This record gives sequence, C-alpha cells and structure tokens, in this order.
Amino acid sequence: MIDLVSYSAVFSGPLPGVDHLPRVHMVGPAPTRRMLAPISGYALAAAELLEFDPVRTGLVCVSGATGSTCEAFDGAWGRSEDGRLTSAGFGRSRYKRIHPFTLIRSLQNQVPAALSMRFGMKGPCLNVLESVTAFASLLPNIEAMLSRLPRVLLVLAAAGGRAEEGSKMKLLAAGSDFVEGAICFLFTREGHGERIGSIASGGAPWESGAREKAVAGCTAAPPLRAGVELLRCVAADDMGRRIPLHDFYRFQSGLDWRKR
Amino acid sequence: MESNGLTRAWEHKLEGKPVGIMRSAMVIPGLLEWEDLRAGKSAVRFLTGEAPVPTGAPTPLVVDPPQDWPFLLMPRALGLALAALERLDYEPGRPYGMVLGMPNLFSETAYLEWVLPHRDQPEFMEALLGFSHDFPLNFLAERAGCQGPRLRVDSACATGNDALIVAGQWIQAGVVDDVLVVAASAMLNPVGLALFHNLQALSPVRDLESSCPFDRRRRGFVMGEGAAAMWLSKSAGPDCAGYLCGYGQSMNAEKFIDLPKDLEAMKAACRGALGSLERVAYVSAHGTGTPANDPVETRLHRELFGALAEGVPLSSVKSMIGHCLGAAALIEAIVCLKALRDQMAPPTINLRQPDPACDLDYCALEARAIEGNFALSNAFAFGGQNSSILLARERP
Repeated sequence: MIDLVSYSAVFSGPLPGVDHLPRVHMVGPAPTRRMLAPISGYALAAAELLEFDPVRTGLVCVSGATGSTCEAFDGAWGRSEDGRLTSAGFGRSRYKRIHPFTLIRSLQNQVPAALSMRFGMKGPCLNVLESVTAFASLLPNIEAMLSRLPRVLLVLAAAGGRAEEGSKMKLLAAGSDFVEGAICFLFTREGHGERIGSIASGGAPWESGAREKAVAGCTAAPPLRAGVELLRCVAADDMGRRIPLHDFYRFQSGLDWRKR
Repeated sequence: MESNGLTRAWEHKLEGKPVGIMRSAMVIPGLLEWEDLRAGKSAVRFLTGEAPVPTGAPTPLVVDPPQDWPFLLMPRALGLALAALERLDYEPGRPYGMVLGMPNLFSETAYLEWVLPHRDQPEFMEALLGFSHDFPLNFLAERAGCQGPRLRVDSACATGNDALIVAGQWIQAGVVDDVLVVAASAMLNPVGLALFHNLQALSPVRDLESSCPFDRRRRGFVMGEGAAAMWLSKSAGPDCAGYLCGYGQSMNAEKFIDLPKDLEAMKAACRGALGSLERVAYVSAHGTGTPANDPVETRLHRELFGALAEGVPLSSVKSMIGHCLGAAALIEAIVCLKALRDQMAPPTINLRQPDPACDLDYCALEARAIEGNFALSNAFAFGGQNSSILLARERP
C-alpha cells in the first residue's frame, strides 16, 4: 500500500469529473519542439504544478504515444519514386531528410530524461510503456523505491490523439476523440506524513481473455486512464473504491483507493 | 568504498534474499552461442540494400508470424522475442509474471511502409495493432501462459537491466514467485540505421572490425539485433544458473545523448549494485565503441574500484555482436552468468590499437580466466538513464 501526497495534471481537452480539481489544467494540444515530443511537454507542464524535492524523489513513468512520428519521415518518403520509404535511393541520400532529432523525439524514455534534466532528478528511474493496467503492476516497484527514498513521483503521459496514433485509437474505441496529457502523483510510504489517501493493488487474481474493442466513450489515452479514475475518486471525495482496469487485450487488474 | 546518504538511497541490496535465475536463452547476431563468444567469433557483416552504413550484426533468423497471430503485420522484434522464449527451458503451468523489455517499434520498416500512406485512415490501422499499445506484451504473455502481473519496460539501452530489476522487485515483494523476463530489439533495418546514423552514433567505416571498443580506431557503434529470455524464481535450487543480488539505478540529469562530465550519478548506480563489495570477478562493460563512451567508462571503472581497478577485468561483447539496443543488457546479463559459471571472461575482440585513454584490462582479443562469484553488468542509456546489476554464480 502506498499513500498519495499530492497530484497534478494537464490535459489537451476537457475531462468530466476532474476539471475543477486544483492543479488540473487544460492546456490544449502540446506542440512538437526541437528535441521534445508533445508527451514530454505535457509531463513537464504537469510536474511544474507540483512541489517536490527532486533530489530525494524517485521517478516512475508510464509513457504512451509520444506524438505522431509520420511527419518526421515525410521528407524522405515524399521523394521516393515508387511510394515506398525505403526503396532505391533511401540508403544513399534520402535518409538524410529525416531530421537528426527524430530518434530523440521518438524515444519512450524521453519523458524521464526531460524531467530529470529540468528538475535535476538523479535518483532511480523506471520507464514503462503504455497499458491501462501498468499502474497496478507497478505498485510493488514504487514500494521498493519508497523503501529507500521518502517520495516517488509517478508520471502517466501520452500524446496519442493525433495522426496515426489518433487513427489507431479511433479504430479501437469506436470513433472517440482522445484527450492527451500527463498526470503526476506524488507518493510516500504508508503512514508517513500528510496524505490524501492510499492505494493498494485490487487486481489479484490477474485475468485475461480474448481481445475486444474498448468501451466507447473512454476519452483519455490508455496510459492516463487509471490516473483519471484515481483523480475522479479524489474529486468525488470517495471514501473507498475499487478501480477496475483492463487493457485492449482484456488483461485485467485493479486498484483499491481509500481516502484518509 | 565511499558511500554517502544519496548513494545509500539508491542502493538496493538483495543480500539474504537474492533472486534465483533458473534458466536463460539468447537469440543473438550470427546465432552465436556462449561458446562462440568465448572463442571471440564475430557476427559483424557487411550490409547490403538500402542500409546507410556499411556494417551491422544481423541475426540470421527468418521470423514468420505464428498461426494465432491476429494481425496482418507482426513486428520482427516480437518474433525474435518469441524465438528466445521458445528456447527458454521454463516449466509450463506456473503462474508466471512477465516483464518485456522492448522499445518503441515505430522504426520497423513494415510498420512505416504501411502507416505512412494510411495515417489518417482508422480502417487501415488494424494491420498495425500488433506494434502498439499493450498488444506485444499481452500476446507474449498469453503464449507463455502468464497469469501474474505484466509490464513492458523501455529505457533504451538500459532496458534489459531495468526489466530484471522490475522482476526481482516483484519476487521480493511476494507478488509472484516466478517471472519470465524477455527483451528484444530489431532496429537493424534501413530506417533504424538511419535514425542512429543521423545522430552520428554509428561507425561509418567499411571494415569488419569496425566494432572495436576501447580501440583508437573506433568511430561509433555497430548495430545488432536480437533477443534474450530469463526465468527468475523465488525458489531457486542448486541447479539454477545464478542469482540477481543487487541493483542500482540513477539519472544523469545533464544531457540527452552525451555522457556527463560528472560521473557521480553513474557511480551511484554501480555502487548501488555492488553494495559492500570492493571488487568483482568480471565487469560487463557498456562498451559501445563510440568515441565518447569508452574513455568515460574507463574513468568510471577507476573511480569505482580505485587501486584495485587494473585487477578487475572488463570486456564488451558488443565487439562481437554489435549493440543490440533494447536487448543488449539482458544478453550481457546472460553472458555474465556464463562467464561466472565457466570462470572465463569473454574477450573484447578487435582491440589491436588500444586508445591511450583506455588503459585497463579489457580481455583484449582472447577470453580470460577469472576468479570469483560476482559480476557487475552496466548499461548507460540515451536519456541519461543508468542501470547496473550484480549477478552471482553461487548464492551469497
């Protein structure tokens, strides 16, 4: 069990049930910057709203789509004679039309890197890729960090609403438009200091099944969903709630929330 | 060895509760095995086709989608991961957890060739779902019959070590007794090569010895591809392959690609893994063969081990199999276990003209007899993430 000390969030658009919370801001779609994809822009903006000691705080990130990657290849692709990116001439010259920072902008661990460089975080770090259930699977790892450090910052971030990423989400979730953004949770060990509430795993036994399309109307990008549900518990002043989580592959787990 | 408050904070010793490593398997460039690495064989080849650089270390394995693969296209990295899992001798039926180390798959050629013309057409995205979201992780987990927690880790070159750390923490916490850890990378294609080459990270030299860590001729790393798998267990017996005894993680907080001038964060990760040990039998170096990495790693080794540094051998198997990116650290963890079992460190091949700034015992050209129970394996990733693990042959 871990205790929630504070939270913050930024989203590209409105999300019912959490808009009115302090330190939850609608910022609109984040742009692509020279070395930072939109996902890092959201993560940095959310972390800026939070007060924490970067030297004595561990970092855990759940990162989704960094943004669209297609446009980075358009220069090389557009000059292809047969409509294929890697056809004749790619290895000789067309590859040079891919911006040198494309790899950096596409790396999933750019989120912890950006946070580390902005705030001077030098402690342990773990970066995992998007899934709705990751939050639950990560609880023992957050607890392990908290056995050595007073605080752990969990950042959920995704910029999966545009171009090819948006098209994938529209296929998976019946035409919904997806809200991008980042949510930060600051955790401490159970029973230590002031806290809003506590979280434990509510997922055992872990279950899985055949793939189904996600329920329409889930408007937050997958890595954010568990965080959005947790924010809704805080916003609604829930004394206790089981938050079920399931991935697109119907792997299921859950979180147990208790207000302090 | 110095230890301050911050270092202690990052130290995660598992003494008393080391995690057993039951079995391991590799699918690596050249389809080399451990005996080949001991013998100093190289998997580096000249590349053909639209590769923007002349050399790479391919894994000569055709990966076809299995019959139950539900989508039109399958990532090669996932195919290599499946191949490694199939080679792993794990007991079916246990309620395994799974940790998959697999970076973003956007650079696979098949993915890009499909997505570029169809990016705004949701109806065409079905073909690509196997590259995205939780599908790779859950497909692999279902194939292995996993019933426990599951995560997919991506910390670039540190992925394999971080995946092992996640699994070790689960077992220590009592969440699950057995975890399958799999890591894979398949960026050895024209696009993957272009992405790194445009950052000037790859060797542009047309020479089969172009992967030459610690050599003055080094101009960058040679890219490999491959996969590895491990079975970690709480209930390890005398026939297990070894133990995960400690780990350390840190961030440089300085630059995205370049190594930091201040090595304190990197040292903290290494010391976190070493705990109270002052020396180990062998260090698996990150050893990429870039102009920047190797002298920094040499300095790090000296600062870590002090007067004992020249007596602690280190080597880089990247000299033989290139840099397998997201799979590299897990491959090198397996190499450490084999080295400890045989008491023989693999060589750093192609080290014929040592860089004066790199003046340690890198097991140049030939395998080296070693003595001891512990090996340290380091991974220093793009993004400034550092991850070190301590492995043992016998339970400490």
